[in-house]
Amino acid sequence: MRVLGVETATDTASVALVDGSGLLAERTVRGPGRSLEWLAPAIWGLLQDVGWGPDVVEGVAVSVGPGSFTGLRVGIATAVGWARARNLPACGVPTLEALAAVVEASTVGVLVDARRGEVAAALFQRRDGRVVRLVEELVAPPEEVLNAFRAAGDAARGCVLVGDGLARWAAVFTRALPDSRLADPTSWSPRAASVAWLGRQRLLEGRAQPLVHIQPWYGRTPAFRQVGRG
Amino acid sequence: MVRGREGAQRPPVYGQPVLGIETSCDETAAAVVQGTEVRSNVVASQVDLHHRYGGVVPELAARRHVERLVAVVDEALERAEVEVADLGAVAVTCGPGLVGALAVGVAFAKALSLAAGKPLVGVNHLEGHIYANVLVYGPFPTPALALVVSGAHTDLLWIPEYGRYRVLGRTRDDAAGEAFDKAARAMGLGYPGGPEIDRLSQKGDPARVPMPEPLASEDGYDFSFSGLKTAVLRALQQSPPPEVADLAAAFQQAVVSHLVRRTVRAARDLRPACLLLGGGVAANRALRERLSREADRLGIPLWLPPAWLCTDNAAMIACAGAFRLARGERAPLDLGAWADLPWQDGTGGRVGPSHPPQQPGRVSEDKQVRQ
Ligand SMILES: [Zn+2]
Repeated sequence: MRVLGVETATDTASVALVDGSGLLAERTVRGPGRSLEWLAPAIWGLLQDVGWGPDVVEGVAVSVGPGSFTGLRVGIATAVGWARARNLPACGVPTLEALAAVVEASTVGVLVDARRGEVAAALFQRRDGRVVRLVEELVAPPEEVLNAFRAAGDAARGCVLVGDGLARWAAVFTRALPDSRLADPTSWSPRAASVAWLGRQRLLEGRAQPLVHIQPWYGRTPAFRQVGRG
Repeated sequence: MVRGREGAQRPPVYGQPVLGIETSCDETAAAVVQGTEVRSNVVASQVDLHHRYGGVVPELAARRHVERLVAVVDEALERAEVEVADLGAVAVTCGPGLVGALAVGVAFAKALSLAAGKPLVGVNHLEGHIYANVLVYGPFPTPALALVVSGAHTDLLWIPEYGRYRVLGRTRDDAAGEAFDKAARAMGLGYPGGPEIDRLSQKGDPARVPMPEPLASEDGYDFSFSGLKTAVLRALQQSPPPEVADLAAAFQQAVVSHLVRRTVRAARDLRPACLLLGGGVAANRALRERLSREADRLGIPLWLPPAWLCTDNAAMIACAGAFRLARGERAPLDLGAWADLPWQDGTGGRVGPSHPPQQPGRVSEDKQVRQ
């Protein structure tokens, strides 16, 4: 199954095409300006890179957050629009899981910069070739994330850290988690190849979602909710 | 070109079914229009959602669009009894509006059209409001004079021919619909304010509360509503304050008089072949009645959209798109979303490869659009 992956949860925008043999093509750029304008030409370019038309895509996977609110919506609307056009199976992939999946380590801590002094984080453990959560996704200040990681027990101590939150918080986390180390910085940004690959596994397992169910996971309650109270 | 009514030229219309998508503000909408015939028109309103905040919350609007859009599109296609493959093209609102809200519709429309190999065209939301008339009465004669009044815009336009717009005048402060909302809030009425004030006005006497005439000493066609809003606030501070029904009636009459006076002046000066009204405020009964009377007096045909086409919908977007498509317009692949968008141009002045681009080995667009 050839799967198109869309990743626009952070300021890195990425699209990829994978099949059972692995990666066919990927286009990734950090800070493309507005992902709305970048995405469609990028997908078209991706298909041109492999010399195929849009009909070769057999499934669609999209990164559903946590991440930038607008970025998530643009990515999801694009993925859902594509899937709807050709009645393709589609599914959402958690952004942090896609980041963790590319790191070869038994325990992976993912830290994505969520702005306003917070990180979107989760702790994963690799078991039988897939990643399972030791700490569920949370969006919180680094200290709170560290407490959650520590509460997971010894596993967190030797974890490998990944994610663009490290650009700002690497020192805080490596100091607090003594045996941890940093993944290679080129793997800190989420990539559509990983989203497409994880999505392909889900689709092959029959875990395609109804398109209306593919929704952003914002991970934070925005201020307008408070404004409305009372 | 075919000679139509009033001897004006009739423009070509795209004949295939066009899927319209509209997410510029607080309505998630999709429609299928063929030529000037509405085959389906689905609107999921968010009014209830924003009601408690007394106005549209952009982040909430964008969230609701992404929750609902695909279901709304499904329903529009179902009701029209067409599949994506049967569509000739896709038309999407790309501005003006809330950028985050617009982005949902534009991203969806671009991907849908690209994957399905259908042409895409970007549509100016305000232009859509004018084309609401075309869905009911067919192509309008040109040159036309159009008044577009909504919650965010009050524009008076000269349309010398299809696809060309010259802004004669616009509001210098609040839009007419915004003025209704603000006045309604001051009077303790609900949101949106226009229908509330319109309803209450029927029970009131406008003569009981004096209202200023905005820009009375100025020539030209611009509008201003902030003075009327201030007059409402001042009236409410008097003791005893006026009856709310009287105040509502006086405010509405003043807004309507201002809109009608400027429009009539332009109509006298320029003698258009027809007068077009559009936008949410076009549903206001007093405005419709006053403008009808004045247009009769001038002997200029007036086109008024029915109420269900005054509020935001995607049928008007698909219709405006069909006329753009017939002129050979296609959106670029990097079509964006714009908070402000010049009238002249549906794609924010951007030029780029047409959408979708031709690719060797693919069926050409012309062949896919079945004649
Ligand atoms: Zn509107």
